[in-house]
Amino acid sequence: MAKKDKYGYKESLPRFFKADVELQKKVGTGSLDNGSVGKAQAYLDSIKTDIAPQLRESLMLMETALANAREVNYGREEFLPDVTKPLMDIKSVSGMFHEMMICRVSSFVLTFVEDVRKFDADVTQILMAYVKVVKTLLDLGIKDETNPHGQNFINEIRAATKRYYDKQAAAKGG
Amino acid sequence: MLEVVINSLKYLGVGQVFQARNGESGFQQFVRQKPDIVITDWEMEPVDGLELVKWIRLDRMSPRRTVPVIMMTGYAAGPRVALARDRGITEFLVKPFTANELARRIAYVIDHPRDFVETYEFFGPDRRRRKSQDYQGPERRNDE
Repeated sequence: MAKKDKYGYKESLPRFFKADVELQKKVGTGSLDNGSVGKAQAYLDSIKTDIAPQLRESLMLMETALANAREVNYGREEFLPDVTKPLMDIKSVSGMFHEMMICRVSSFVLTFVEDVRKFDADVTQILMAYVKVVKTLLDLGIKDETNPHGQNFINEIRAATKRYYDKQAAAKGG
Repeated sequence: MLEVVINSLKYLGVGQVFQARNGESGFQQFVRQKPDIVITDWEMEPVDGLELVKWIRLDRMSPRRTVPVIMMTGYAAGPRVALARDRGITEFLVKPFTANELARRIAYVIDHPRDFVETYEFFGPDRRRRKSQDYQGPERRNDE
């Protein structure tokens, strides 16, 4: 076993390299010009791709994962990627392609899933509700994140996650 | 998504953009083209972005181990950021992103090139962004 110093570090010192400034020499410093950034943003804003089929496909992957999770007693580590990957895809793609309400609810649910300590029936319920909400948003064509119906959906999901955390805290006697 | 990123980079005035669909072909492109900056997604198959970063930082074939790597992903949780950082990424860009956020990350890695640290289990940018004046422990780096 390698010898350790009094701070618990191995005695071999790390090697340290000074920053590489070649790129800086080549292109200079300073922020990119506002004109270019504006053009790039205008391009992003102008994208009209219909992403509904892709989102529905990701939702289907989530549903399959959830159905499997109900049948098998999945451990958290095994189960999570099957749900988080499509969920993350939905969040990313919807946000880049102007489905802002879907992006917002997905972002909230992704944060929740990445935070939960274990997977159980309550988490499945919340994820099933999320799938239903996104399908409804797609069916109704709700894109604007200030839409009152969309806000109601988000509030429902938020309330469900709060109930989940309250239940967990109560179970721990907190 | 790949097309969107490439077009955004072109609008931002990035000269040459090389593209790849996964980490394996990305590494081949990296070795061949020796780009100034690498922008990679996290989720790719069969080789993901984390593995690509590992190859860039540690593989013998890597032509420039200190290249700035911007990891682009929809994940934003702290443990994910820490995991990517521990693999040696330079900057993290959460999707969805605006043109301004992309431009700022690119400008940042150019304006603030990071020192690099190599230990027996890590090679990547120095994780410390601030110098603490209160640190009482030993200075473990040769050049400090």
